Amino acid sequence: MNQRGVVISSGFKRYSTRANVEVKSGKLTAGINLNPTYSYHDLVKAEGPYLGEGVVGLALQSAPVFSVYNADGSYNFGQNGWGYGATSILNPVAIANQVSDKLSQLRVLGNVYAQYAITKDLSYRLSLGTDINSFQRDYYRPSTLEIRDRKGPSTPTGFSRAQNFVNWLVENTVNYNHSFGLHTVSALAGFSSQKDRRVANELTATNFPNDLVYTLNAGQVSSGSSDMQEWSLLSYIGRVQYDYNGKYLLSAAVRADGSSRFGRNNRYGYFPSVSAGWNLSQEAFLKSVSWLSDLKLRASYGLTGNFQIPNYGSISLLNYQNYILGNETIVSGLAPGNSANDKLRWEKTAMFDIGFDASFLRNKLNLTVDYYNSNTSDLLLNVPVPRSSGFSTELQNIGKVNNQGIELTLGTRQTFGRFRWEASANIAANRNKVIALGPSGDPIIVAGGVAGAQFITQIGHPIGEYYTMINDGVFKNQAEIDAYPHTTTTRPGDFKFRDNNGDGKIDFSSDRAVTGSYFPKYTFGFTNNFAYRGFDLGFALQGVQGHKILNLLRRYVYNLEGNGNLFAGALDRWQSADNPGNGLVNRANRLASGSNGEISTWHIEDGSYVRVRNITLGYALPTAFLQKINVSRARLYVTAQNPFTFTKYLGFNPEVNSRPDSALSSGEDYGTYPLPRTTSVGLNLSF
Amino acid sequence: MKQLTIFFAAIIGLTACQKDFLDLKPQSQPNVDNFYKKANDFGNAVNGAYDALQSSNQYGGDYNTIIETRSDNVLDNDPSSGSGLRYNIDRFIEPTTNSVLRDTWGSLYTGINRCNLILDKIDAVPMDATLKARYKGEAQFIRALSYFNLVRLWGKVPLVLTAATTTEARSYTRNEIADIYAAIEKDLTAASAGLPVSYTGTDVGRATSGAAKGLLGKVYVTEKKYDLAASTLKDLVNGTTYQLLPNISDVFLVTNKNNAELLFAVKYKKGGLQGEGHGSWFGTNIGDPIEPSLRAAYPAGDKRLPLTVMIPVPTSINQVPRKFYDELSATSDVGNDFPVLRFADVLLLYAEALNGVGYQATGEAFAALNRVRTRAGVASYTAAQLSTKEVFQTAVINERRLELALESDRWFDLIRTGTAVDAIKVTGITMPAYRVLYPVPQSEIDVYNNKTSFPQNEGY
Repeated sequence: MNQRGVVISSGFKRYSTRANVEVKSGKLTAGINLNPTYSYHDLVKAEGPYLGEGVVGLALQSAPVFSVYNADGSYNFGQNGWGYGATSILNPVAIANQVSDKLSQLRVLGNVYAQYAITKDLSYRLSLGTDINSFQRDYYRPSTLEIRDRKGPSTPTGFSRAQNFVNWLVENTVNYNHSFGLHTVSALAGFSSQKDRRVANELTATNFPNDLVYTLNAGQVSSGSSDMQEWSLLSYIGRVQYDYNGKYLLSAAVRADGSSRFGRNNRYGYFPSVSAGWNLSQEAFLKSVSWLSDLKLRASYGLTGNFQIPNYGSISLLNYQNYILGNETIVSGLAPGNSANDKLRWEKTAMFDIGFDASFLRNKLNLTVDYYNSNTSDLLLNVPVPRSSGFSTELQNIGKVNNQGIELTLGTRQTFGRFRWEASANIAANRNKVIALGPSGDPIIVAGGVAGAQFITQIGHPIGEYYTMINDGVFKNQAEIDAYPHTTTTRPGDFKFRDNNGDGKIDFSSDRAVTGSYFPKYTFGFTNNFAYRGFDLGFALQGVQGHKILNLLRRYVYNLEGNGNLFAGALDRWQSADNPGNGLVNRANRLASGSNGEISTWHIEDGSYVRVRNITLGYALPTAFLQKINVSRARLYVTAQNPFTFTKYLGFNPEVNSRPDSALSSGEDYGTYPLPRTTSVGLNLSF
Repeated sequence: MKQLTIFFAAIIGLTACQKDFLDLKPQSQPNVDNFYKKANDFGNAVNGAYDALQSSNQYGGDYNTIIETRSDNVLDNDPSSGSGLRYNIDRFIEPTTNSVLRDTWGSLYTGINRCNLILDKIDAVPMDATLKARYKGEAQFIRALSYFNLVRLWGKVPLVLTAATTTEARSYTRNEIADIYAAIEKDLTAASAGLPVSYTGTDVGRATSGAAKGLLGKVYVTEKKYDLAASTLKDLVNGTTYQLLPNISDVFLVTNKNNAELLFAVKYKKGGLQGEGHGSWFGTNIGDPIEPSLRAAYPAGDKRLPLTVMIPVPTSINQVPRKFYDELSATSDVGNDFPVLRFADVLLLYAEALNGVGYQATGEAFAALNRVRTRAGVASYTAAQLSTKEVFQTAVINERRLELALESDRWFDLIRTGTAVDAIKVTGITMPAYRVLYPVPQSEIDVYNNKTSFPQNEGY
């Protein structure tokens, strides 16, 4: 497989194979599965603001007056160090094309197992799985690329980074399975141990004499590091299941998991669960109902755990903090980088689910409905702590969050002569609410990509709502300013921030308000397939509605400060009291007075979208023809991935998240990678 | 079959015999549990405490903004750089969420916590008594310097003198300014007794007893405890350990680090080493950042005036003041040391202290002040020119501005003498009077969420 990326110079290749072998000898069954994959990625740093050389942000900010290339074909770095206080923007095409950033990955998934039937009902199974994952990344930034605020050739830099992950999992299970009459009982008991070890090495080099060789041997190695980390997990599990004639199903399980990541006395979490099913359509009183083909009721309750925290998250680690003494000698220093929390324990989710599956009219129509209500307690969060403690955040178990929702799926499969139609529609709505937070119940406020971009998590609300100023457009004239609270530097054409607490003054702390959430009101999907003779036509679409995105790229590409490229909406800016534009866009002003840069609802956009995920048209060649050429089946197809997205969102892709690992501050866009729109034509052959 | 049995046995062995399977310790990073045990650990911990001062949120960069750009010495012409964070501070319009302030506050307490850990744990560890006294003195010096900066920037701040858990930190309140100064005095008094007079080899650059005494003198002057200031500084002024270099521009040269004028400097080294170099101080590509009133204040022929002239940096679009000029390394950093306390400062503090005790028409105060002026190549003040205590005081403060320009001192002089609002007015910027103190970072106010025990500063 070979795919080019959306951003120039990005892309990847993948080669994989799979081998499965199983042997049987009397009561013993043993086997081995092997699945190696090699992939090769050509990376381009897409995300992040201009400072980090994220090319999407750079491309948006590049002023069109600077051409990509000079007349002689070389890259134009005119916007770097242009002067006049303009922000230096490096040429994004040059960065994408000239930085060499290659990543190769070899992943081998392997599994060896053996099963021994002790009696007819009782068996023992042992399985050893490994996941070996090794990465090699080589980066080179050539001299032909300028450095921000420095003109002319730069000193080339490069790094070479190797990472090796070895994960092994051993599972021992005893299975019992017994049927008598209409009853079936099965039970499972077992334990497993898992360990993951990651080793990383990195070397950086600089002062390459030229750009002829990219590997580090050509330059002077300037620094190197190596790092090793491990985690382990021990699990014990027991489960019993009972089935009466396929009509009544009961199951109960309990597992205990111990993780190396938690505090010494809190390593184990215990997670019981029960479930029941009732196949109503098997009951005599429903068998006569002809329009109902199948009806099954389900209910379950269970606990699950989460241990996705850093490997040594409960320990106070020391960082190397060196200093300079004497005649510029480096002396080694050490200082704690995080606080210790030996009380750290598993995050637990207790989930109740009830639903039914029903089929009507001889399975032509299917309906699945689920309602769930889950409570997550002891959330593992990086909570802001007083900086006077010496730290800014601490990983803590804090609070409780409720999620409840409904999921509905309706499907149909119909045939009208040679015309077949299959369709499925689903809709889901989830409501997220914080129930408790720490001992004091105080809200947690964290900053996102910039200090003013704030998120609040408070009891009774969804987790991580935007907490910013409210922007009520611009002041059209001096009279409007005089009539409403404003900051001392505000002039006509500057933003009008809402005096949210009504105290008659604008205050960027006490006038903050909850201004939206990344949680959608509902999501839906629809897939549809038609088939007629050899032709088939299918499409799938997906929608997310009623959520907001904090589009921080607007700080650069919609700031009206004349230091980079702007969105076209800047044409509707306030220009004078007589020509106030659309009343929403602030005046062009090199000097950002009136606090126009303050994060507010100006930076928050509706993220709702409907996206056509794919459209496929296929044609299966007639079998009569195929038999002549010894092909059992052949299908020609043309498919378009992500051909259309319907959204008002201004960024490239409404599926954003600058910090996927932070539950407290999700929904921020700081230059999200554009979603590829790909069209492919293919031929499937079976012999 | 037999081979299979062996295979089974091997795997069972692998899983069953792992004692302490879940007890994994970090392999690549030391942790607090096995640290602070040996003398060498404390050596590393003390170096780590100096590292906090070196941070870009302190002497490495942000002090230039929040102390010098804030004052009437430096102008920020660049509203769009860094989202206007520095521009807003220069123009007295920074919101409480300004991240420069947040990060400086955090960095100061990070350093204080490092010192607290050392001072909490060192007494229990056996080591050479002189070395122990030195380590303690260094930690006390760094802690005192950090609190001195905190209290001058924000006023009432939490006074944390032992390392605590983050839960305990939630009950901190904003301590009285007098209590904070008392703690600073105590630390510096202890440090000046425990620290050596000088160092050799790779220890040169650590805090000395002279540095602790000098800083204590500065603290006393700030508190207007002139008696104590004069007696503390007297030995330094009359001693020979520290002296004025004949040529003022030699004091700041990258090629003349650790010179005899420096009581304490935060040290750097350029060359792309992680965190050991820094960006050009006051470097800019937009206009002249030096306030015209500063250059106008220098008398004709003053050798200190050329140090404020902006000179272009080769291969860069920036220009920097000569005082902190260094050639860029390949990775765009420079290696100037930051002079925290130097002998000229001590002389001026001594003059101010003596005058504060009582004006004398001929005396040591005039001598100290004129030593600084003579070195700068300008005429000495006579008793006829500075005929009263008040005039003398004004002259000393003005001399401090000329001598210590760009060295993160001016703002503190303005606020301790109550002249900030008038001085800022000269630059054409309006400074609301309440802004003599910075707003406590909004993140800190939000964490405490208690207007009574942890209020914002007045006016914000």
